[in-house]
Amino acid sequence: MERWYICLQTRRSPVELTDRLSKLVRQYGLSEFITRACYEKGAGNKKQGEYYYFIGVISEEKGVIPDDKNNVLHTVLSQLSLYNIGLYVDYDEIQPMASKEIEGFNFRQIKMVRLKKYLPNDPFDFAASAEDSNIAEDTKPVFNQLLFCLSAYGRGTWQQFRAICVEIGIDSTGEYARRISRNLRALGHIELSRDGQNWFAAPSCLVQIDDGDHQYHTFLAGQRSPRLLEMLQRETHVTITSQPYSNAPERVLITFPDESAALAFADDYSRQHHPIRSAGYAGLKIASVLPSLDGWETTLPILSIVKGNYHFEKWVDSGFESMSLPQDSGMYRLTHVSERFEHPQLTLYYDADTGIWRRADWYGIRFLALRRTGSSCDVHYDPVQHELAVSHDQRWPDLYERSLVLASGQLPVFRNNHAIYSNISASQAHLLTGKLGANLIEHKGT
Amino acid sequence: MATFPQWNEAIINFTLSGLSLGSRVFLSTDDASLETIGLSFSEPRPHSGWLEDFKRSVRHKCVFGDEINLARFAYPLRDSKSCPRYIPFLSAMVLAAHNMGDDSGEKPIDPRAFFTHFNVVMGLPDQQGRTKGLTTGEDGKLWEDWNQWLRTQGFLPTAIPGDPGAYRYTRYPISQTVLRQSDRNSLWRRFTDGSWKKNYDEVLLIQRIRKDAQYFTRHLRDILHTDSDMWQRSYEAISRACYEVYEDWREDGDTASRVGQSSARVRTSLDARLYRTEDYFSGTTEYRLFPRQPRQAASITLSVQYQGHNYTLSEDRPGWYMPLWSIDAEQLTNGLKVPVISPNSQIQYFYLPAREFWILTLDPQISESGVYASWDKGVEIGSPFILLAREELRTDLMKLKNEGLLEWESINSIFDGWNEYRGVTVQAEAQAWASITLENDALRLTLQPRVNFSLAFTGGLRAPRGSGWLVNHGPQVSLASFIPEAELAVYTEDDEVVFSNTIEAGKTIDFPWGLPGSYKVIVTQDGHSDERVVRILDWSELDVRPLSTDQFPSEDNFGICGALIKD
Repeated sequence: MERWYICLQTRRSPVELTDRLSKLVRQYGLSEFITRACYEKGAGNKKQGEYYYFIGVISEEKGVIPDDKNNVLHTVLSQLSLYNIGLYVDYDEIQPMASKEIEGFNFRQIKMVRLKKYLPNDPFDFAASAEDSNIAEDTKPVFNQLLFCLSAYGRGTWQQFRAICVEIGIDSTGEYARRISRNLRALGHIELSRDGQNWFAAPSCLVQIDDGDHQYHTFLAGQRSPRLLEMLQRETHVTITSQPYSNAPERVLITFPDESAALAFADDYSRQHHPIRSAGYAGLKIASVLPSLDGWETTLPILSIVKGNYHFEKWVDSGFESMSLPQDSGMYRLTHVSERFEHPQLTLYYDADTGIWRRADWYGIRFLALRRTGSSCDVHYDPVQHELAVSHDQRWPDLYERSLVLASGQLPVFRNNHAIYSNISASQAHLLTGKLGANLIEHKGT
Repeated sequence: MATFPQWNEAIINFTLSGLSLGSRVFLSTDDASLETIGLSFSEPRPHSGWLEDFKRSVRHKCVFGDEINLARFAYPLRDSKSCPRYIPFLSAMVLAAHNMGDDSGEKPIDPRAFFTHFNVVMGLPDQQGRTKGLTTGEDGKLWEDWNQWLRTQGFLPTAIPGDPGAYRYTRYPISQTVLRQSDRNSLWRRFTDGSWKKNYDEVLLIQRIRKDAQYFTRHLRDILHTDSDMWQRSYEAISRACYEVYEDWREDGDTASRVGQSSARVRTSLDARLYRTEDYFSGTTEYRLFPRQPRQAASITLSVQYQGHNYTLSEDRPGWYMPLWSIDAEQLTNGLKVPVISPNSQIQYFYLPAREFWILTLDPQISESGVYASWDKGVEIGSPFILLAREELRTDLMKLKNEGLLEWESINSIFDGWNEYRGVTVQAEAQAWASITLENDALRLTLQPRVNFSLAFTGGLRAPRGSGWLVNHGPQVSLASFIPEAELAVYTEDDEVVFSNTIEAGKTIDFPWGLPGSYKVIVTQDGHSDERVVRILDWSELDVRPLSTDQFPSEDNFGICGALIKD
């Protein structure tokens, strides 16, 4: 097939002419024959007047218009007040006179919708997202649906997690998803990979809690489905309660007469459907396997940072302050200098002695930085109410907080600038504060 | 010996296995596929073979005296689980259609010959014309019920009737034979006569076949033609069927003619593709091996030993195993052959082919995930993709860009000698590509669009495994097209029109999907139409995904996974 051009002379506006020609090509189904057009440099300039307009066509042989196209072409040209004078050229012959800016084009370019794309962000940097108070009461069932959905997928990418949160209406921008994921992790429903790029549903399990009587009380953590809830409601005694700020899936409390009844239910369900395990006192168990703060620090992933690539800000007195290069140990916010790539902002811990950058959840880094820079950490415990209060400015690293949350299956409530965790035993309080080097102050009736 | 209901269930499972929801389904039945289906029965192969067992079963159930008696097997049309009950009968029709046509393949298929072949399959070789007892149109009702059932399951039917007239209903089974016996034979001959290489993957093979189209049967030439509806809408099925013949040929050695027609398909190797992940924090991109499952095969256990590590291949989703290790430039450039250990199959190796370029598209089941891999789908207009291409192809690609045929957002060098083109979109329709000459013609054939419009379903809340969208979170609909608009119609399962209007290209429609169920979506433009199925699911249909024990590396988390601690 040859590609060649029909030369035409006109005084009409080239833009208008091209627009009109495109429509006629579509209207008369000539797109297989007429594929391009271009026009003379300076066309449209009033002083120039008449100029050459070139219609690019494809046919077996240069200058030969197929019979089935001839009449239609004539009609199209007539409607454009153009007349074929039989002057046919190759593009090479007209290239010098065709304006560079106005080169050949396809008459029918694709029209499509671009997919919405989220700029990458750091899932562990939940401090950057809005506070919990933004959650409306009527979103409660939606968090349950979120957990059903995550349970059904089993795993996925962080981008997908954000898209799901946006779609079900609990996150308008894809930023608040970070806080949602922290809450879900604290409740033992999901995990995040160390690089934050993937999430994983956690296995379904019954977590034991004390309720001061002789029955066996548990709550459901990990994967759940409508069928599981339906079966639990049918065969056991279930109480469903909201989380303190309705910002996470509801707590499903299941009461069995004794432990063997719980195990029998779990065995029976596991055989027929998917495995449900017994986690015992998960909060206390987690508290016992977690290392000291020093031990925790050494397990944090190390990032290799080229200092010249970032702007640095250091966390000082509850805010970030800009600085040229990091000198002291502490918590830093790093913003990549390049705007060419989609680099998310990073919040890291810098150890000035070793020059090592470590990554963890936002609260965890802040806690580490505070402890390493000599700040003391006071924790208040009420042994009567079994409540533990951690200062809002000194929230714990996420796994230590998970241990607290799993003692009750409820996220903390916030009072007087403290996060209050319920159903905490004295032994658990001592164990965790000891590991984190915090001062445990016991009160009665705070 | 298998019963009619056993064949019924086995054929349905075989036909749908490894297909993503939304795929076009062909009830393509031939001698080899019946032999392969027979392997799924827990009994030894009959002495006469599974093909004969199938015919025996169908004749026993469907023929009474010298007549077909639909009342014996087809009514009611569905069983207690609402599955079709008559599939072996339709398969027998397709088997007959499969044998139509002379071996040269030059003469067009004569629909009048259909019943000659069908009567032989049904053990009534003396009958001429339509089989006794099979009233005109009754077979059509079965095909339409099969089509309807496929839609409710989220698949796209492909069986279509002919124009009104005497052979209207024989067109249904004929439409199901992507490749007939004569087409397969002609492919086989060409592979042998042309001494074709044995390391093509599916993408390269179909390009090579198109180049040699003149050597093939008329039917094959027709469906390979870019203007044909089959090519435009059922490219994957054609490509898959051709590759199946190629794999048979590769497994059989250089025999001059097809010898394995009546034996089950045996596979000794798997293909691996590429799976791309990106770490936004370090800015690194990884390409991992992504093994493809053997198609329509029973469940098999596979593991791989590589550089001292043992990898067990576990399913990611139907058709695919979980991605394996990251590859390097050398493996990407030269390909890779890795021994496989399999106690219950004949698979011995998997291959990463050495290609000049790879097309990577968004995960078709979870496009929000941002995961790109070389899924089967290939380039779809209106969907940006990633092109991983050798440096030598840069000139060709720049030419396409300068001609306004292709556009991309950025180029990055990931491996030595390779470039990654991100956000690539096809800008112009097929006609505009016709006159372009490239050094690498496979590149042009792969990138140039097959269709002029494509419907996209975006947003909403997708249920896992591509099974549909959750109620009240249905997808938005948009049209990618070279022509500004098209006609869009949406039907319920009962064929009630719930929407019929013009859709403008490049605009999104928030469609008010109703109650849970399957919706048929048909878009029509310029005399061509495309059908899709959208399934809306109730929340109660969600179930948890079984977790593999090693999916979350809890050793990095002090053994903690959720509320559990690993022992």
